[in-house]
Parts: sequence; structure tokens; C-alpha cells
Amino acid sequence: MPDWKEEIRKRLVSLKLSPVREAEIVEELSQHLDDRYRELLARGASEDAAHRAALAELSESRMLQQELRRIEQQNAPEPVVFGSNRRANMIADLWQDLRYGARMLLKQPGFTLIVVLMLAFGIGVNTAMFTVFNALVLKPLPIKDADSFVAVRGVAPQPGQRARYFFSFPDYQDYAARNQTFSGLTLMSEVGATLGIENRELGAPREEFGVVNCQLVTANYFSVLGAEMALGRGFLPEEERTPNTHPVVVLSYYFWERSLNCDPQVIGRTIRLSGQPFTIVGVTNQEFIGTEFIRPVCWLPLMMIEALRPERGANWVTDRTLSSFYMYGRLKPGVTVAQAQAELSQLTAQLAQAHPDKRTDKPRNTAVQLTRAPTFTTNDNEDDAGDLLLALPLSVALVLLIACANVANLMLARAANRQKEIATRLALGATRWRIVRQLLTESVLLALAGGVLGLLLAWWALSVLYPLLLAQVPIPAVFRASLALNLAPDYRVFGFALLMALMAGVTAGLAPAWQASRPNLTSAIKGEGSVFGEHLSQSRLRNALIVTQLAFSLVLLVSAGLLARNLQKLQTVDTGYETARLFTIEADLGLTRAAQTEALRQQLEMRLRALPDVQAVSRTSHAPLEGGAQRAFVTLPGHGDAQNMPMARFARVSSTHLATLGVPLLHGRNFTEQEAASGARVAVISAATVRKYWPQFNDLSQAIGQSLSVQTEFDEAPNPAAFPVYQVIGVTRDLLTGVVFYPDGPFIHLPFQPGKSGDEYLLVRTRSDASRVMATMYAETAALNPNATVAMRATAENVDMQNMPFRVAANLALVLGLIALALAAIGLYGVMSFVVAQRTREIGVRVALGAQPRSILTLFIKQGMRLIAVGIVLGLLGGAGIARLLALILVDLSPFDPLTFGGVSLCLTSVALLATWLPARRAAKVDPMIALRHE
Amino acid sequence: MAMTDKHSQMLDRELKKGSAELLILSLVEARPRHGYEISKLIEARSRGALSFHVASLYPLLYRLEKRGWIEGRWVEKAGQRRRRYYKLTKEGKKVLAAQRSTWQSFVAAINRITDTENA
Repeated sequence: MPDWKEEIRKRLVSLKLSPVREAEIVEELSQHLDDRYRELLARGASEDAAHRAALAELSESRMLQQELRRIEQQNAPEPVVFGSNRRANMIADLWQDLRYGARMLLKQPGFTLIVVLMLAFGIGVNTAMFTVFNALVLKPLPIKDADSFVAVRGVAPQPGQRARYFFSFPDYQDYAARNQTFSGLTLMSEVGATLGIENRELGAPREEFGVVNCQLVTANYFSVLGAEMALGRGFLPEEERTPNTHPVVVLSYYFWERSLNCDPQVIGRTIRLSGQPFTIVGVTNQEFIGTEFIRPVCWLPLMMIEALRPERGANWVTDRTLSSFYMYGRLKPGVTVAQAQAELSQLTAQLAQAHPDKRTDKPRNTAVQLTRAPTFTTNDNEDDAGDLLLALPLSVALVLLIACANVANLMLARAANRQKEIATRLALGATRWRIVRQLLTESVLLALAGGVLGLLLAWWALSVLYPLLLAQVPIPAVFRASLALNLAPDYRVFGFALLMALMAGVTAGLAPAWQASRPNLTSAIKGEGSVFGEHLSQSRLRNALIVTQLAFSLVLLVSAGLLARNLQKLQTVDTGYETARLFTIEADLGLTRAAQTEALRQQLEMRLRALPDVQAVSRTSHAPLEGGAQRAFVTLPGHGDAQNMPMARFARVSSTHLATLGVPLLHGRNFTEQEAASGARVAVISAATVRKYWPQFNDLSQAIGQSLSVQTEFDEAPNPAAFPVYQVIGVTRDLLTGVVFYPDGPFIHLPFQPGKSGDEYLLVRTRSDASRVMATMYAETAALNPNATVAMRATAENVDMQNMPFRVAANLALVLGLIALALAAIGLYGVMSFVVAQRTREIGVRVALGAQPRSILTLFIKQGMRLIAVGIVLGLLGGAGIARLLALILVDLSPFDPLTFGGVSLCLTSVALLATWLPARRAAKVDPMIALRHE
Repeated sequence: MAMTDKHSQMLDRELKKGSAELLILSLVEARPRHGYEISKLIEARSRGALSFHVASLYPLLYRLEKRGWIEGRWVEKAGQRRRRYYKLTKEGKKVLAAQRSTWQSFVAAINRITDTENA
């Protein structure tokens, strides 16, 4: 049988088919010719004739080539020849790179696992943080037809001026009546209130929830936001006509579910908010959470604002300067945001002209800005936290960068081991770009795997760790349940993780790929690349990467150290009094029953005094460590400028207050019960007050007998001549009564006049654990007056609450810092091990020539030390940068605290030295005989 | 090739161009066949009027395969060399049905014209 294959192949050669495809075609066609040949023989043709006839089938070979070229070359895959240098199909190349890369990575599962894990950590922390950011800032509120729902905020008349973001009720009424573009505008205001709910069974004590978050809204709120009710109804128009006449409430679903067990009979029942009864008329459905990420327990008609905020007075209905409400709106169908914004801005300008504000420092807005599909943070003031918010994303980005540097170093080491392979490919004609692409594909492949794992890590951290961490936070369960943050990952989170992975892949892969693709061909193929020193540039890149890692991790350690020191200072901060065994009671019967409330408070005070566990009781207008006290205009009599009146914090306290706090007087005396009851104009002031108003006094006692003009009522145009004048009778040391992280400044204790102030607390000092007494007081209060609402808080808990953000920040920074330190140590260890392995032959020669193990050890330690030293210097500079960002939350601690900077440098140095010493010791133990046989 | 003169060779090519796809698709409709079998069947059923060479048949087969109308598969049978069998795909069936009806209406139209001339 003749062999046709050669004949066929000759005719196909110009097509440059892939070897596999060519073999297939050759086989198929030659078979055809075989068949033809046999058939001709069977018919009696001679072998020669049959051969010629069969070959005639190929006669139109030009046609064969033409046709095949058209068909086969449309998408011919590139043959698997790595030396290939011609321009070829990018997609096919990519696919080939991917498969090849995956194969190479699977061949070294250990390397792959370490790299993927490191990247997963880096990408994971970044993704977790982004998820929170996304939920707060990017995800639109879960509101029906969010595209026609807008948040409205004011714009200052001139750039640089502070805008009034909020709106007053009379302005709102004008907007609502005069606009043509909205199907509805609504107002909302957040307010805290004590909440109590009667139990159904008679005689059972009422359940108290402490202070909860409520929202006051206009009657159309639910229809504008498109809320549906699970039970009952929303608010009616008549519930918005007159103040204080419709005490009704709509409950939030989560509160109804958690605290009322989804009781279907709840409509018509009464709850007490700050002592005032409200009738439940509805429960929103589960999906509706309003506009704030702290969901309210309930919604109340705006007209009931005085019941919860008596200090606001009654003139909020008519006073255009009292702008404190968020405004939202629903656009009419077909109206664009721009149209609505133009119309509302025009109305705003008209209102500003018709009702100008006398206050020069707060000009009225002349325009508004609308945001469609708002998020949780749309209506927030951006400029509150400032640079501080930068510190966190910066820190987590550093972790990823360290991971990238680590991966880059590992890739570099790996590429060095693959020098032979790369050199062979280059020698076979592959371009450098082709090799770089191959190596980049591998690193991106690794990073994508890291990204997927990181995404899972982030998701796990947020769904498992976050609730666990949240449970540790000392806040009431109702409050914890009210957090509405939706941390489910969405397309933005996936996109972010993908982007991070791609960026990490390229960042970690580019430099090593570039370096690795220019080996010295001859020496690399012969395996001589590692004799007596290596490529200087390669080791330089490796060193640069290590230095970067060390510097970055030092930056993170500096912030962790500063925050830890800060927390330690906060926890041991001297408030001037003992916060343990101290608690406050807020008891209320509602605004309309002031006299009864006063009677209740007096009864409670007497009852408390009678308890054996109670050491002292006082009454005060300011609960310690629940935020800054009220401020009053305070000036020396006859001084003070109405435009720029000095202010100081004050509290009205009963005569037993300082004793209850446990604060002795430095000079002078305390006021008596009689002085307090008669409203005598005497004051006990803090040392800081003396320093501020009488800077010339050398001795605090000189302040005794001096006078101060104190105006506690806020006045737009204060007249110092009309201020009541108080005589200083005592001086205390400076206390921390507002927040633990900021001094009170000048503070004035004024005599407490029973029944004269709205907000008021009983302060109780117990002999033993405060919680025992607190537990009994709910029942005690209910026994005195079953209608009262009660809220109690231990002062120590307030301290915990205030420290919480600092503790969270310190812990977060510590975790990030430790991850960074571990990554940097692994990186340094890896690089030093690699260097030792690469130089084994050199070490062998040195030892053979008489070098002592000691000097070998020193050689490597010195090399490591140089890197560490440079890393630390750079890290300290970076640390100083991040410390400046943190300065805002540092209390009584220099951002350049030498103890922190020194401590973390020492810590980093010791860990880094250990990471250097281990491989160096291995080098010192090298046996010259074995080393010289190496390779 | 059965016809020898130049004129009929041209006609042959033109006709083949239009109809070859239809021929191959119909031949592999009933069951999978290999290339040689297809060429023999065309020759036999056209009683020698049509024939395909290697150079014209295989490119056609590859093109149909590329379009996804037929699918080739190497099959090894006991005692034989492995052969590539082509079978009609789902898509190929649809194409075949369409081409068949086009062809029939074309032939019918031609017939009507030529018949009237003869009548």
C-alpha cells in the first residue's frame, strides 16, 4: 500500500495548521485515498494505474489549500510553542497563559497556598471595610421607588459659609403649599425618650426599656416614603393640625417583633414615652426602616414634639430660626431632580427674602440641594470627622500593600528558581513582553484566588464576627437590635474585591516579572546564576520590597501603639470622683404633670435615702459623663460683649451633690439646703473657671467672694447688664463630667431649685454594687406612681460607652498591626532564607577557605540589620504621618509619644532580627563539602 | 469525473456549489457516514453524474462541521482502522429541512418554466 501521507502533507504545509489538526486531516484524507486505491485494485486495475487514479483525487490541490485556508485559519489555536515570537491571537495567548500558569501554580501547592492566604488576608480586610462603607454611604436606602424619592438639604448662600442642612416647620409649610413638583414633602426629627410598656396581666410590673430612639414626623411621612403597615394605620392629617393633642404612635416592626413578640392585639394599647401615654395606632411592615441606620423604636406625630422635648417650647410651629428637621420628598411622576431642585431653590430664595434672619453669623440658605435615592449618610455633615476617617482605609490598604510586597518577593524568589525555564523560552525566541505577560497572568491568577478567598473571609468576618463583637459592646439590647446596617455583599462589594485582586495581582507581579524576564541567557541556562553574588538589581528590588514591608508594618504598629496608649490613658483618666457605685435615675410623668413629677422625685429621693445600701443622694440637671453639660453665658459683672459673650458649662445641683460625687471643696464652702430652696444667688466654681475669669489670681482662694454674671437662658441678643449676678462661695478642683476624653473647661455649680428644670436626674452613690440597688428601683418607682417612666444608668457604664470607640479603634489597629508584623516577619524570613540558599556555594567556599561560622552568621545578620534599619527609619517617618491623622482622638498624649515610637521600633527590630537570625544560623552551619557539591 | 468536456465541467461546478451542502446533509441524515462513503454514495446515486474529489469534499465537510451543522467523530471498529464519521446535528437538521424545501420549490419552478416551453 502506498503511503499517501507525505503527499498530503506537502500540500498542506503552506497552511501552517496546528500540528494536531494537520495530523487529523492527513489521516482522514489518506484513508480516503486508501479506500479509493483498494477499490480500484478490486475492480482489476493495475497497482500503478490505481496509484495514479488515487493521486488524481488530490489534483486540484490548489483548491484544497484555498478552501482549507478559509475554513481552518479562522480560529486556529496557537501551537504550544513557548518560544513563539510572532504576533498571535491575544485571547488564545491569554488562555494558554492561564492554563500554563494554573499548571505551574498547582505544581507548587505550598507556595500557592501561602501566597493565596496572604492576599486573601489583605483583600479580606479591605473588602470587609468596604462592605461597611458601602452599606453606610453607597447603598440607597431600602425605600420603595427610590428613584423618585429625594433628600433635601440647604446650601449656604456663599461658599465657605456653613449651610443650614435642616428646615424649620413654617418654612416646610410654605414649601409644601407652594411647590408644583412634589407629590409630597415630609419632615423628620430624631429624639430620645424613656420608654415603658404596660404588661397586659394586671399587677405585673411594667417593662422598662430605658432611653430609646424615636422619630417625630409629619402626618404624610409614611405615604411619602411608601411605607406599608403590618398592622393598623399611619398618621392622619388631623394629627398634624394642633400641637399636643394627638398622642398616637406607630411602632417599628423590629421592636414589635423583639419586644412585643409580634402581639397582633397591640393596636389601641398604651406605651409611655418620657412619662406621657401614647396610643399605638400602627406597626410598619418589616421592610420599612425609615432613613436612619439606627432604626427608631417608633414614630410620633411631629405635633407631639413638646412631650418629648419640652425645652424646645411651643414656638417651633412659627419660628423660622428653629430649623432642626430633616426634609424628604417624593417627586411627581415625570419630574426630574433638576426641575424640583430649581423650584425649591427659588422658593428658598423667596423665603429668605420675605423672612430674613437677624443673626449675622447664620445667614439663611438661598438654595437647596436634592439627592435622589439617598443613602444613610446623605444628610450627614461631612466635615465632622475629617482626616480621622482617612486613617482606617489607609491602614487596611497598608496591610494589602504589605501582603503584595511579600507576594512580590516570593514571586521573585520563585522566578529566580525558574530562570532556566525563562531563559530557554527567551532563547527560543519569546519576546520579553510575552514572558512578562505569562508571569503577570500567574500573579493575577493567584490574586484572583486570593480575592475569592478574601471575599469569603470578609463575608465570614462580617456575618459571624461582627455580631459577636457587637454583643460585647455595653449597649442595651434594644439599641443593638436597632442597627439597620445591611452588610450583605452586593455587586459593588464583588466589584471592589475583583478590583483589589486585579490591582494586587499586577502590583505584586509586575516588578518580579520585569526582573525575571531579563536573565543573562548563557549563565542562566548553564545554571551559574547563583555563584558568588547574583544579579545586583534583583537583590536590590528584593531589598526594596523588604524595606517597604518593614516600614509599612511599623506605620501600622505606631498607630496601634498610639491607640493602645490612648485607651490606657482613658481608662485610668482621673475624673476627680469615683465612677463605680454611682448611678442616675430619670423619673418622669410627662410634661403636663410637672407638679406630680416633682412630688414623685422628692418621694424617690426620700425612699433612696432610707435604703441601707445607699450612701448619698442628690439632684442634678446634668448626669455625669453623659455628654457635655448645658452652657450658660458667664461674664464678670459689667463686662462682656453681646456679639461675643463668653460661655461656661453649668449644672444646677442640690446641696448634697458634691458630697454624693465625693468631691471635696478646695476653698470656701458649699451652699446649704436653705440657700438652694430659696434660690440664693451663690455659686461653687471649678479651678478652671477661676483661671479663665481671674487669670491674675495666684491663689484659687482669692476667687471666694467674687461675683459672676450668669445667664442660663439662651438669648439671641444677650444683655450682660440684665444677667443675674452670683457670688462665688466655693472652689472645687477640675472634674470630668461631660466626656472622659475632653476637659469640662470652666464649670459652675448653681443651687438647684426644685421643680424649676425640665431634664433632671437623681444621682445615687451606693455602698456596694450599684446594679443591685438599680434592680429594685424600677419596682420602687412603680409602687410610688404606676404611671411614671424610669430610666437608670450606671456612671461606670457611661465611661465604658465613651471608651468604646477608642477600644474598638485600638483593637482594630492592634489586629492590623499584628497581621502586618507577621507578614513582614514572614517576608524577611523568606528573603533571608532564599539569600542563604542562593549563596550556599559561596558560603561553602568561604568556610573551606577558613571562615568561621561566627563570621558567616555576622555576615547575614549585618545584611538583615541594614534592611531593618532603613525600614525602621522610613516607618517612623510614615508613622509620624499617620499619627498626625490620629491626633484628633488622642487624649493627653502627644501624637509623637516617644514611648510608643520607641516601643514599637524595638518590637519590630526584635521580631525582624529573629526572622534574620534563623536563616543566618542555617548559613553558619553549612558544611563546605556538601555546599560545594551543591548543584 | 464522469463528464469530460469543458462546458459540462463548468455546469457541474456551479450546480455543485449550490447543492453540495444539501447533498451532504441529506446523506448523513439517516445515519453517520465517513467521507469516502459519502463520496461513493453521491457518485452511485447520481449514477455517475456527480462526483466529488478529496480536494472538494473535505473542505466542504470541514466547513459544515465548523458551522455546527454536522459533527465529525473518530470511531474505531474492531479489525478496522479508525475512521471519522459525520452525523447531522440538531441545527443541521433545521438547515437541511429549510434547504430541502427551497430546493424543491426551485426545482418545481424550473420545471414549470421548462414544461410550458415544451407543451
